[in-house]
This record gives sequence, structure tokens and C-alpha cells, in this order.
Amino acid sequence: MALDVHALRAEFPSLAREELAYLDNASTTHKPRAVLDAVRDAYEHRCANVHRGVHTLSQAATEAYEGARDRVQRFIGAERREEVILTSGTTAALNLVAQSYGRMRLSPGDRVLVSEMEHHSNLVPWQLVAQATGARVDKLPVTDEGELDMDALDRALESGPAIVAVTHVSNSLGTINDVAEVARRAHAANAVVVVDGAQAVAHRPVDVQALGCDFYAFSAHKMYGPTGVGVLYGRMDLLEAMPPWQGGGDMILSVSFDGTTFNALPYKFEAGTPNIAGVIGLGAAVDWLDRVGLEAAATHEAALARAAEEALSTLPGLRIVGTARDKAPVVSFVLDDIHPHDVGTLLDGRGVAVRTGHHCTQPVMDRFDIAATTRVSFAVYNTAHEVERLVDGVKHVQETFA
Amino acid sequence: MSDPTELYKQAIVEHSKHPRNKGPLPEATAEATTINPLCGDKVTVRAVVEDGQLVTLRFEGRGCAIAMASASMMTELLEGESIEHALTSADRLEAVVAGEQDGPDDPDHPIARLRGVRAFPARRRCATLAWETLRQAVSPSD
Ligand SMILES: Cc1ncc(COP(=O)(O)O)c(C=O)c1O
Repeated sequence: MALDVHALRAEFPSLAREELAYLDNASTTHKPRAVLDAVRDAYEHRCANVHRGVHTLSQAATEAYEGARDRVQRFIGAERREEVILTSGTTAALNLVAQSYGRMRLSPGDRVLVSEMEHHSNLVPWQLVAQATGARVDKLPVTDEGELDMDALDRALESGPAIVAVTHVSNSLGTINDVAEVARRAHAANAVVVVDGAQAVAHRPVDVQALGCDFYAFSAHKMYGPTGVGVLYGRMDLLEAMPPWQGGGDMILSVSFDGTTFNALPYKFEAGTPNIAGVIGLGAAVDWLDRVGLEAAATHEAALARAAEEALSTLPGLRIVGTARDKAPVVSFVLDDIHPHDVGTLLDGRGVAVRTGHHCTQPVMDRFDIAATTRVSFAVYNTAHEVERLVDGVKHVQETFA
Repeated sequence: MSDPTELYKQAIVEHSKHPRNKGPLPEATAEATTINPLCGDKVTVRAVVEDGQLVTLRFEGRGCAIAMASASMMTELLEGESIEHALTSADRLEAVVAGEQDGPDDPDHPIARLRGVRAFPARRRCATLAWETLRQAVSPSD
């Protein structure tokens, strides 16, 4: 069923300003009223700490919080709810894996294979843990089209990396990686596979069991949910073997100066008072996406991205960066002799919001020998009219510099 | 939101397309390089200093049009001037771009032409980058 974009759009109070064409959804999406209401309701009607009180309000907060975990479990197809660790975002989730699993697993000389298209948040944590353990970080290269070089993967796996870290979808190129195939090959070589799903979950149904990955990280704020909330999915046996990362309340069973026993999963990895209202908002975002339908959203977004790519490609001196066969609704481009920041400022002057820069992916910018791109990224509420405004805007930029 | 088109047309585009004093300066006696961590833009400023004067002033770098145009205008304004005057001008440019003072009345003065950048806070650093770099190049090191 086709989407009624205008009806959907009306659910977003922050998009009421007609003059704004928000095309920076890969940075963060706007939030539908259902999510805003859930967050407000959490503070208005369930304001209490979770897992700590015998009183009614604390029970209500705990139920709502744990209910969100159940929704997430279903949303990503995890086998068990204990495999869903709630964090403050993708970055925290990936650091958790690196600091807990990485430190446990890695010894001097071990290798972590990290793709060249990773966001800094799936590279720098591995560099940190490599420094601490004496392991080394190897690069899994990217092809001219912006796809993972699968032959290079096979070669790299021969040297037996302990961990393979790849993104499901590249935030700067839009490439959708075949992570199921990466996981299959990596597992055959006994590597553990860590997937950054930040750019995937809002655009396609994700089933972590079908993907076969060991860890999967994502953020609520890129899927219509609140900022400051994220998820780490981890395979039960791995999570059980892992030491806690942060210590504090909630993650313990009993504490004394002689020693501390840690709580069971998932709480072992959830130290301290979590972002309760945010997690409840994430649950609402999952419900909202279920209602919209990810397949319908993907079809709509793909049509917008295709229209944008086609129209932009006809402009002289414009080059699309990232031409993978399978792409998320992300279009990155460069213009001859015009810097992306100038494109961004001039587009902003016309009410078109895009992202410009290296998008926290400097290695892949170096790979394409560019410093930055202008990136357009679509969400379910974007319209064909906004694509026209973008293309007109880029023409205006070129005229300004003519 | 204010429209940056006028700023670009009046001040930025011409200098960014035809930068003055851009290139190497092997005989430089003072030099500094600054990177804007936000965008990776990079500017190097080199000068031949004699008796406290910037006898020759050159820049090199890569970056957005605002950064490149600002560097070009700066070298045009300050070549042949004293270090003291250059440092005062850098302070003034920064204050104008920050919106703390209005700067020269003459609309063709480079600092006045860059005034419009203040409307775009995310880009202010682009306009000040070259001036900061010059300050570093000519400030006595410890
Ligand atoms: C691919 C990718 N990974 C990781 C992140 C980091 O997400 P967050 O800043 O929400 O932790 C982002 C978003 O900026 C991203 O696009």
C-alpha cells in the first residue's frame, strides 16, 4: 500500500514549518507526535525510577521501560529479551562491545578487521582497545563503487582476525552491505561480527538472527525516537561470558567491600539510572514504525533517492560519491570547485537542510580522495517537492559561483 | 534564515575563484598552519618579516570559499603592513565576525565585506581561520 505522505507529515509537529525541506535524516530524524507524547507521558504519569521501588509509580515506570525492551526485541528479531541491552546510543553500544568483549578477547598480535567505510564510532573504539591490548586494527577496503571488497575480506580472513566490524549501511555513501554474507564468511574463520546498524533500522526490516551477526548496535534518534537512547543486541552466550563495562547501581546483585556479584543479563550492562523516558520513547517509535510499515517506507524513500540521484546527475560538474548497487536513501555528492560547506550554507538560505562535511567517516573520504561531501538523506516524511527544491537549490549554488 | 547569496556574490565568490597572494613562499621567515577540526579545512600563512613589517604575505590551503576568500582578502589588506597593525586587524576581524563590533564604515574594506558571515554562526570559524593562522605565524614563540 502506498504511503499517504501528507497525512504522515502532519504527525510531525516540527515539520509544520512549510518552508523547511529537512534532508538531513541520516544525522537525526524528526519525531512523530506519538513519540513526543510517550516521552511526555513518561514524565507526567510514570515519573519514578525503574527496578528500584515497591511503590506503584515505580512499577508503572518499570513496566513501560521493560515493555520497550520487548518491542525492540521483536523489532530486530532477537531470540531473547536478555539480548537487548539499552544504552545511550550506537556510540555507547559499540564502545561497550569494544571495552568488554574486545578486552576479554584480544591479546597482543590479534587483529580486528574494520571496514574503510565505518563511522568513527565503529573505528575509534577498536583503536582504543587495540592500544590497550596490543592488538592491531586492519582495514577492510572499499571498492570504487563504495562497496565492501569481498575478495579482500576473504584474504583478510586468512590472517584470522578475532573481530570483524562493519556497518550495515554506510552513513556517508548509502551502501547497504551484505552483512549476512560477511557474517557467514567471518564465522567460517571463527571471527566475531560486530555490526553498526545506526543507518539501517529506520529503512529496512532487520532480523539479527537472519543476519547472523554477533552484535548489532543502533540509535533511537535515527529511527524517529528520542536522542540519548540506543541498543546493543548481543548473542546470549557472548554477553554472558563478557565482563561488565561500567559499574554502578542496577548492574549488581550484591555488593560488599569483599566483592560484588553482578546482576543477570541484560542488567549487567545497564549500570545507573537509564534514560527511562527516552527508552519509552524508543518503544513508541518502534510501534510507530510498525504502523507505518518499513517496507512501504523503504519503497517511498527509494523513489525519492532515485529521483534526486537522477536529477542531480544531469547537473554539470556534479559527481555522486557512492554508487553501490544496493543503497539506502542517502545521496552524497561533490561539485567541481565548490566546497560542500558553501553548498550547505547556500541551500540553507533557501530552507533546504543537508549535511556537509566528512560525516565522521574520514577514512572513506580519504579513500575517494575528497575532504567532504554534501549529503542528502531521506526519511519517510519527505516529498517529491522537496527533491525539486533540492535540485533547484543546487542549481542556484552553481549560478552563484558561475 | 537569512539568505547568504548576497554575501557570496559581494565578497566571497570573486576572491575564492581568483585568490590573491596564494602560493608558496620559500624565503618565508614566519609560517603557521591551522586546521579547522570541524571540516578539516587547512590554511598555511607565510610571511617575510623585516623590521617588524610583513614585507611579503602568502597563503596556501584547501577549504571552503569563505575560508579561501578571507585568506585572500587578508593578504591583500596586510601585505606591507606592520605586525602590530596585522594583529590589531585580526582582533578586529574576529570581533566583527563574532558580532561584537561593526568594524569599518567603508563597505569595500575587507573586514566590512566579511561582516555578513556573522549571520551564519557555523561558518564564522571559516572566516577567521586565516587571521588566526597569521597571528600564530607572527606571534613570538616562547
Ligand atoms: C553509521 C553510523 N554509526 C554510528 C553513528 C553514531 O550514532 P550516535 O551518535 O547516535 O551514537 C552514526 C550517526 O551519527 C552513524 O551514522
